Amino acid sequence: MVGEPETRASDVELIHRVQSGDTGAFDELMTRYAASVYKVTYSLLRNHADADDLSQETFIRAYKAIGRFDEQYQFYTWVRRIAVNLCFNHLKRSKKFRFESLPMADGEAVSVDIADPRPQSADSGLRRDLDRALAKLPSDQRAVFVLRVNEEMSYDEISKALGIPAGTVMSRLNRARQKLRDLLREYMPSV
Amino acid sequence: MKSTCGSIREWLGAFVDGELDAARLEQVRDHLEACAACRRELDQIQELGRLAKSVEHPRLAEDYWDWQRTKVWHGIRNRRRVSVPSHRGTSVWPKLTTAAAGLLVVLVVMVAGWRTLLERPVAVGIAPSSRRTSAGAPAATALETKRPAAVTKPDKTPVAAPERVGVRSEELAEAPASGAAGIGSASRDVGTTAADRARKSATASMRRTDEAELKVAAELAGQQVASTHSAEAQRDHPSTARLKGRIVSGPVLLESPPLPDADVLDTGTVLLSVTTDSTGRVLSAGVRHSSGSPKLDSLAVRQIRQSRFAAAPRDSRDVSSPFEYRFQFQKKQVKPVEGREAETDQEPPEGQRPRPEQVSPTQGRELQKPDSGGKGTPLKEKTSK
Repeated sequence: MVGEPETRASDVELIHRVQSGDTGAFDELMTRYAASVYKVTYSLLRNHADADDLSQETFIRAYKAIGRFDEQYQFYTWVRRIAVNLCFNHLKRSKKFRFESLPMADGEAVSVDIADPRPQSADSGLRRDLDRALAKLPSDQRAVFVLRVNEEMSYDEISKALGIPAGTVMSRLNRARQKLRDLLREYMPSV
Repeated sequence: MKSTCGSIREWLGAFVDGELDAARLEQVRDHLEACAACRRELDQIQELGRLAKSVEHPRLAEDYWDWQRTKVWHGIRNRRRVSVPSHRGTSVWPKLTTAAAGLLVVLVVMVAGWRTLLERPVAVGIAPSSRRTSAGAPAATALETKRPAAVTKPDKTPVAAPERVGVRSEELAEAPASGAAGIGSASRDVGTTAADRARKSATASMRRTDEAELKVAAELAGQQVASTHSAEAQRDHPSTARLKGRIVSGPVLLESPPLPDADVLDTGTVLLSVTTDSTGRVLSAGVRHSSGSPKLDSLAVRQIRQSRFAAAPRDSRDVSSPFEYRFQFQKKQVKPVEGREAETDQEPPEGQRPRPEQVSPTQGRELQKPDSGGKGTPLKEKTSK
């Protein structure tokens, strides 16, 4: 299905088919965007189990609401907004939980995802440090940073997705960047 | 120059993001040409973005996305109100109908409960006045019987006195004690009331998990831990490490390496977030709620990472969903025992004893393994009793 671009249906066509009861079309939409949605949820939550859970929930809710899909938006933009809302609510609910990686006896991070078979490397060190730095940010600042830097959403899109003024997006982003630069000083160009 | 650095730096992020209006954009550009410190700050902001983008996400198993789609469809099917989506706006009527149906069910249960109370013959040995009291406050009676004196051994610390609200009716029946005999009888009598039926119904859904929990405890810790399921066993084998694993919700644990005795050095409960694939292999495990001891947290994660859970049945992928797994570690009882090396004798402080709700109430009973693939194998708890 994905390997034949000339016959590949557009997202809008697939959405129309889903709305008329074709579940296979929704399966195709999931095939196209599951990885992207997972990437968003993982970026926000830094935890595979939660990201996996909320990715599934995102598609369940998208299916439920696809009858009200507004065609002025891209399907991914729409489904990403669902994912962001879910993650943000999850983060607000679970503020009591800790998300930082816990050091093991041999220095390995406890919450490293087992699905990742790559050996420890410079990248994994950076990833661990970035995970820890992001975990130290308040969830609202982390969400804004991830949506801007990883998802490349505009301030306006972030503002709408999170229901906050664009000025607040900018100020949270500034604070997040400042904290991350302090926490990741060793990776920063020397001042 | 210095006076404008502050405001310019506030705009640097938006400058990098291309979110500045033309006037401010020009202002920032002019300033950057003249200010080396702000240029370095700009470099750092850009580097931070590059770093954040360069870090990859976990590499997932090849069939992960198929599995995830299956889970989504399963979730959609389970939400019964979700049928074929429609262009039409959502109607209020389905919600009202559902609410009305729910209300009706509650009313029927209440009426049935009261009818049962009124029609039930007086139980032998229970005075009508006490029966009325029990019927009038079934919840209070249930709570009283949740602290059976019989569970407390003489000259021994009270162990495993179940206090949780969802205690099963069998526990009430198994709580004969001199001091609590009357209450125990009353609870059996009240067992036919609507309140008790409701409690039974609520606890029935927990039964599978409890049975799985027993198996987990046995599997995880082998004979050492199994011997701690009863207070008597603890008295007979005071040197064994006590560990309990409790599945909050999730699949059956098939195998797990024995817990290294030397690592059980502290007391605490760790809540893990675990995901398995369809074959029961652990994909990820992270600490959801720490015990407060990094060593225990690490031990719990390491243990679960080396464990294997039941595979998903062909017609269901339930066991592959993310679930929470609770470890409870308890400091070793450390007494010199024949044939064993001497260990430090340290009784856990009062506040750190296992919480009653984490002690399984189905000790010594033969269990039916939750069906993980169509073959139900009877399991028996490995108590030394």
